[in-house]
Amino acid sequence: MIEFGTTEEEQLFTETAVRFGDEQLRGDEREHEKARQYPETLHKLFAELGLAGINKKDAGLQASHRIAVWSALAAADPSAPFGLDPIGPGGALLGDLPDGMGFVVVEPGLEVADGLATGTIAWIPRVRLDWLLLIHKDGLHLVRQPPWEPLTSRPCGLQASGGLEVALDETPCELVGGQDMAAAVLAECRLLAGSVMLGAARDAHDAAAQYGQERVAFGKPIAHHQGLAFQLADSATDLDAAQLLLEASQGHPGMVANAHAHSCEVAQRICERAVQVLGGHGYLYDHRVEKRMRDVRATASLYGGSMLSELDAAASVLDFPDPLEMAS
Amino acid sequence: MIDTTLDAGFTNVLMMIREVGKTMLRPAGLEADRSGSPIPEDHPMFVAFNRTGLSFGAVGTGKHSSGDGPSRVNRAAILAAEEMAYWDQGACMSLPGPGLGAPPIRILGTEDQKQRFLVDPFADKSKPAWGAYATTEAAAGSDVARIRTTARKEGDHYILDGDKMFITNGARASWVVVFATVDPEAGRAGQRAFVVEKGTPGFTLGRIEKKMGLTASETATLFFENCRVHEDNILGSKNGKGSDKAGFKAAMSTFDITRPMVAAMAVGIGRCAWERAAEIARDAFGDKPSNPLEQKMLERLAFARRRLDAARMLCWRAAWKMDHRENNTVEASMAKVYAPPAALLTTQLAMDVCGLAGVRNDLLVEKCFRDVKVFDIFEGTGEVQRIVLARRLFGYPRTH
Repeated sequence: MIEFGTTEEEQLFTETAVRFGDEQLRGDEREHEKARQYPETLHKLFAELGLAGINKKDAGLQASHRIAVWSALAAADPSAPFGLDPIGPGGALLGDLPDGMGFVVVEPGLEVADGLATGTIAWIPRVRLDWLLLIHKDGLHLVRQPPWEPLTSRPCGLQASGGLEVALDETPCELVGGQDMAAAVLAECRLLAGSVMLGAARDAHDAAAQYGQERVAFGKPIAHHQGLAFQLADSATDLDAAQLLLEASQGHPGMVANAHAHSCEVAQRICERAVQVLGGHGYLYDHRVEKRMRDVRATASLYGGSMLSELDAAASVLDFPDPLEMAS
Repeated sequence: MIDTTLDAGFTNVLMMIREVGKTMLRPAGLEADRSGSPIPEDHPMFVAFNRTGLSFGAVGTGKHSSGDGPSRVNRAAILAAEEMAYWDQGACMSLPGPGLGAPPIRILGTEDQKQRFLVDPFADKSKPAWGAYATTEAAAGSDVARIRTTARKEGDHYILDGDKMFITNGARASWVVVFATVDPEAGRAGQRAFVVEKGTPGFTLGRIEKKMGLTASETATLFFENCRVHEDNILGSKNGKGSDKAGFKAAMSTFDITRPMVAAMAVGIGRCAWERAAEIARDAFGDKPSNPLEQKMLERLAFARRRLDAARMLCWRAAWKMDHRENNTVEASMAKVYAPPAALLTTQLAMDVCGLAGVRNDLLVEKCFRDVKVFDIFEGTGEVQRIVLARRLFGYPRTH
């Protein structure tokens, strides 16, 4: 009935994520990136606080709430939702999976036939892999103990989550869900990726706005020059618009795909703009905006990336529900 | 938590508007657009509309609809604004009523003034009547402080001199709320609002503007030359001395109500174009494109749809905050800065989807394209919204 409020429970949960991010992630972000993994104590704390698998059916958290939690974590360190949650949103939705750490992959180049999967997955932001869920045109396929290797090169972002590559060569896989389940899992993964990108972009924007009010050029703070002020105002508006779109898309995989594509576009533009606001400083490791730009760029490639989302959205756009039309 | 479903109350509002839109606004709007002139004052649609008993006068009062819970009036108004614009915004703007003149009278007026200007002229439903609001001048649009229409006190009257431009329903209005300055050097602090009644000596009509879109709506230029207005018609500060910042601030706060509504209107026009284009695509190839061009059409429709849906959410959020009596200046400006360009983009893409036929005025999408551009201009341009946001979010300085 047109509501935008938050419940007390939702607020508490989001505040927990914010506090975890501020106290456990933000200060050590560069260190974790350098180590290309998180310490075991953080994994344990993340689980203890109930921040893993928050989209499990029995968790009872709405999409807008999950988006808020994932965004809050990503604002402190975009790698965290990928690196600290062993099963991720896809695994949580499916349930009944092998123990350990897994990941959901959409890779158009993979061949899946007769219970065998073949193809390479060039990057997975994990430190180890106990199972893989492949989203394929006929449904959802589970690969147990996939053959993985640490990345021989370095990904541009999400480095603290680790980095693996997988080469499947007629590797056994089992169909664990049909097309509807595959679509639901993919939608949940896209919600996560969208939330992470928007959370990271909001943090970059906040940093840019703060810097813009402190840095003086031509006699006044640079944010008070109209050329920059308008850009920052646009960033703030675009962020809110993209987040509301993502929240409102829940329940319809095509609309989630559309919202995800929009998040990719908006978050990348805002991070790039934030680096630009800081000028030469923005390019340095001294400030977090350069890392946000890299992390968002990497996140935008997960789960099929924005191009696949655009195609998926286009495929069902003529059937998108409209609350005003539904009222008739 | 975000909930975008419409309950029975909102659905009822929507259904009433939809009926009016379908049977009155769309036909009259198309007729006016094709004739190139505003809907005439004696058009039967106006009396028919009055007979529906619909009134949008309560919009923006913030009053509770029932009990102690939050108001619903702004959310209902947002839905109504989008739906009416979907059918025809030009025709909607031409509907009888006090129009944009209502908020300043409601906020600044005495009980006597409210009776004289908001009740009495509209009592006889068989005789459509209009009110109007006049701030803009040829050289003062967004920068309201620059208005040059003067008000000079002489006894118990004020003498108004100046010209006003872009006045909706200005020629047919029974009265016009006119902003003039008692002290041009004082900027906004010197401004006062006067209700100038039709037939007042010195108040004359200039031309009716020819516009790119919103043809159904009358847009007039008004002249005030030695125009004597009794002091009983001044809103707010009767003696006209000193500043009336509270009154001006109150008048400006109406933007927090009207800007999301104007943004929602843009969404409505965009939705109209989008649906027409989707219908054409569906008729042409269903949901299975058979070539790259058809695939591209669907991608463009999805591209436009995400912007339009996001714009609607910004409007609804601003209205929701207003209903909960929370300050929504930032949210209102975000809606206003975002929705019109999103809607314009949608109309442009819709024309692309329709191909050459999209250029013709019998498919509606080109009319939507012409109608929607002005939404990024009136009620505070996109640039003004960015200034508002920058002031609120980054301490962007005021220049006056």
